[in-house]
Amino acid sequence: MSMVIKAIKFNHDPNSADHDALNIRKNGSEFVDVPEWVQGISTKPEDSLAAYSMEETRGGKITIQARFRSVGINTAEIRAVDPTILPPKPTGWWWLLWWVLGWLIRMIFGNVLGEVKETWVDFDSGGDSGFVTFELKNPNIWNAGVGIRYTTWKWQYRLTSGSPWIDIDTTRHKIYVVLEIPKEPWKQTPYVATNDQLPWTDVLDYSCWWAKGSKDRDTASGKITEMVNALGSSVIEYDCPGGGATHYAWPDFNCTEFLERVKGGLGLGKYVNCTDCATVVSTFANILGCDLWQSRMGYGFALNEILAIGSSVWQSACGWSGFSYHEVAWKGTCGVDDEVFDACLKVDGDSDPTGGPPHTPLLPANMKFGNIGDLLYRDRLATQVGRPNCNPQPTTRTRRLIT
Amino acid sequence: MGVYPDKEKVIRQYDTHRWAEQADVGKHIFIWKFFMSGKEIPRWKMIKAIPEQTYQERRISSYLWQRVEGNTENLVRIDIVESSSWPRAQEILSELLLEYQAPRLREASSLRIELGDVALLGLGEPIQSAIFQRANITSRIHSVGKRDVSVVDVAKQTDKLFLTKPQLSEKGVVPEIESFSAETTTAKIDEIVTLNIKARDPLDRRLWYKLMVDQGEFLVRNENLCFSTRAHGQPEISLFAINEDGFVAGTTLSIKIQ
Repeated sequence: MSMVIKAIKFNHDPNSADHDALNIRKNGSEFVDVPEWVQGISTKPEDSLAAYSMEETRGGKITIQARFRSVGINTAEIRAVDPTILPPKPTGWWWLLWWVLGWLIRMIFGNVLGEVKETWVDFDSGGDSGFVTFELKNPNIWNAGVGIRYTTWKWQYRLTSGSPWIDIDTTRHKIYVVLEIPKEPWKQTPYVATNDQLPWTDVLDYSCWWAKGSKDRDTASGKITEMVNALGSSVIEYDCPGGGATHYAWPDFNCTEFLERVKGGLGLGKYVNCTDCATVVSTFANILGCDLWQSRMGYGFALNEILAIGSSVWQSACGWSGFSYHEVAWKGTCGVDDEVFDACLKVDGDSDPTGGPPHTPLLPANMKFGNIGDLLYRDRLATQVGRPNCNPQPTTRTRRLIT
Repeated sequence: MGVYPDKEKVIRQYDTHRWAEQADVGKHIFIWKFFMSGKEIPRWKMIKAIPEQTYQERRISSYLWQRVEGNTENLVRIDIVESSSWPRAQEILSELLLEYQAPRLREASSLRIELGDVALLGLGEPIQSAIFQRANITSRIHSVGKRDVSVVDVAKQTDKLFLTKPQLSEKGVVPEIESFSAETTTAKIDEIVTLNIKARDPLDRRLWYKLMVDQGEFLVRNENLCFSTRAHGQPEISLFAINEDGFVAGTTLSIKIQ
C-alpha cells in the first residue's frame, strides 16, 4: 500500500477570487500553469506560485484541489499539516528570545494558508483520486497584510479514523498576498495564456516586498512611491540631458525592460521622467489592488526648487525654467481634490516652498493636489507665477498597457 | 491612451506644419519592415534588440548600442517608429514631443546639424538626445549609459540608413527580388496603386525594404504597400531589398500617370 500526491491546484476556479487564488502569470512571456504544484516538477517554493486577495477572501471558506495516486487503497482520509508550526512557548530568556525571533520571521514570511483540513478521498480502480477539493484550516490571509509568504505542507493519510497518520510527501509554495483583486491595467479575464495583462508574479515580487505589511490602498501606494523614488540614483535617474523624455512608458509600459533594469540589467537605460515614474508607481500599486491612474498637469509652468529622482541638487528641474507638463500617479478623477503619488521628485515641505534653502525634502505620497494657496501639491511644485498654468488635465488619465 | 488637450500647443510651439512644407526629401522615400542587425553603426556594436511592439499601425523597435573603442560605458538607445506614411510619422513626432518635460527642445538646424527631414535635440552638452523624422520613420537616439556621450554621430548614421540610395551588392549572400509589380501600369493622379513585392534572402533571413521615387509618395494601406502621385509623367520607383548582412538587391518599376 502506498500513496503519492500528484498535483495541487490553488487557482481551481478562474471565475472567482473569493474562495481560491487569483489568475496570474509569471511575466510577459510565461504563464503560471494550473495545477501550480506538480509532482517531480515543483521542487522549490518558486515552482509553485499562487496569489490571494485579502479583501475577496475575507472571512470566507478557501479551498484548494489536490490529486493523489494510490496502490492498494480504495479510500483514505487525507490532510496536510504545517511542519513549521512553533513549539510551545519556552521558559528562560535565551530560549524566549529565539522563540520571539522565530515568531517574527513567521509573521513576515510564514504560512498564511494554514493547514489542509482532513477529507475522505475515494480512489478509482486505477488508484487515481482525480482532483479533490480540500478546505483550508485556519488561513490567515486577511490579517497578514501585503507580502510574500511561504507555505510548507506535510501531506498525510490514514485508512481509518483514529489510526496514526502516515506521511505522503512535503510540498512547498510561494504565496503572494495582495489587498484586493488587481486593478487595471492588470486584468483577470480572459484567463488564457495569451493574455499578458494577467498579474505578473515578477511584478508581485517587487510590489509585495515594497509594500509589505500594508493593509490599505493608501499605505501600499505610499510605500511603493517611496521605494520607486529610492531607486534613484543607483538604478534610475531623471533625464536631464535628454530633455526629460519618457523612456519606459511610451506608448505602452515596457515593464519587462523596467524589471530587467531593477534586477541590475541594462533595461532601456538609466533615464526616466515623470511619465515613467507615474506609470511604475500606479502599475506596481494597482497589482496589489490599489486604484491609481497616470494623469498629467500643465501646460507649461515654472517650478519651485525640487529634488528630481536620483539627484541631490535642489533646483528647478535640471535648471530649466519649468516643466512643459508633469505626470503623477493620481487617485480618483485626477482632479484638484484628489491625492497624488509622485515618485519622480521631492518637493520642499516647509512653510515656504517658493523660497531657497534650507529645504525640507517631502515625497508627495497621498498629497492632495489642491487649489492655489492651499499649500498642497500644486503650491509646493509650481511657483506663484506657474501655479495658474499647473492645472489637472484629467482627460489625459490613463493606465498604460504592460508589455 | 489619454486625450492630450495640449497637443495643439505642442504643434504650434514646434511649428510642425512648417516641417511638412519643408520636408521634401523624405516624402519620396519609404522604409518598410525595417530592423537593425548590428552592423549599421560603425565603431558601435549592438548589444541588445528589444522585442518589437506594434501599436496603432506603427512598428516600434529599440536597440542598445555600445561603443566598441574607448569607454564601454558609452551606451546609446535607438528607438525606431515605422509608420504607414510620412504624414503619419510627423503626427507621431508631435505625439512624441508630448513626452518631453523640458519646456522646449532645440531645433537641430539652429545648431547647423543636418539630421532628418526635421530634428530636435536635447538640452545637455554634449548633445545626449536627438529626435528626428525622415520619410515614414521617427527616430529617437538617447545616451543612456553611465557615461554621457554625444549622440549626434549615431543619429546621423541612423539617418543615413534611411536617406541614402543603397549600393547594389555584387558579391556575398545577396537578396533575390523575384518580382516587383504594380496592380496597374497606368494610373490617374492621386490614384492609390498597390505595389507587389516578392523577395527572399537565400538563407531565408529577414529583409527590409527601401523605396525611392522622384515624384510621388508611398503608404501602407490594409497592410499593402501603395503608391500615389500628384504629377503627370512616368515616375520610376526604385526598390531595394536589404538583408541583415547589409547586402542589397534592387530593381525598378515605372508607372504611367495620366
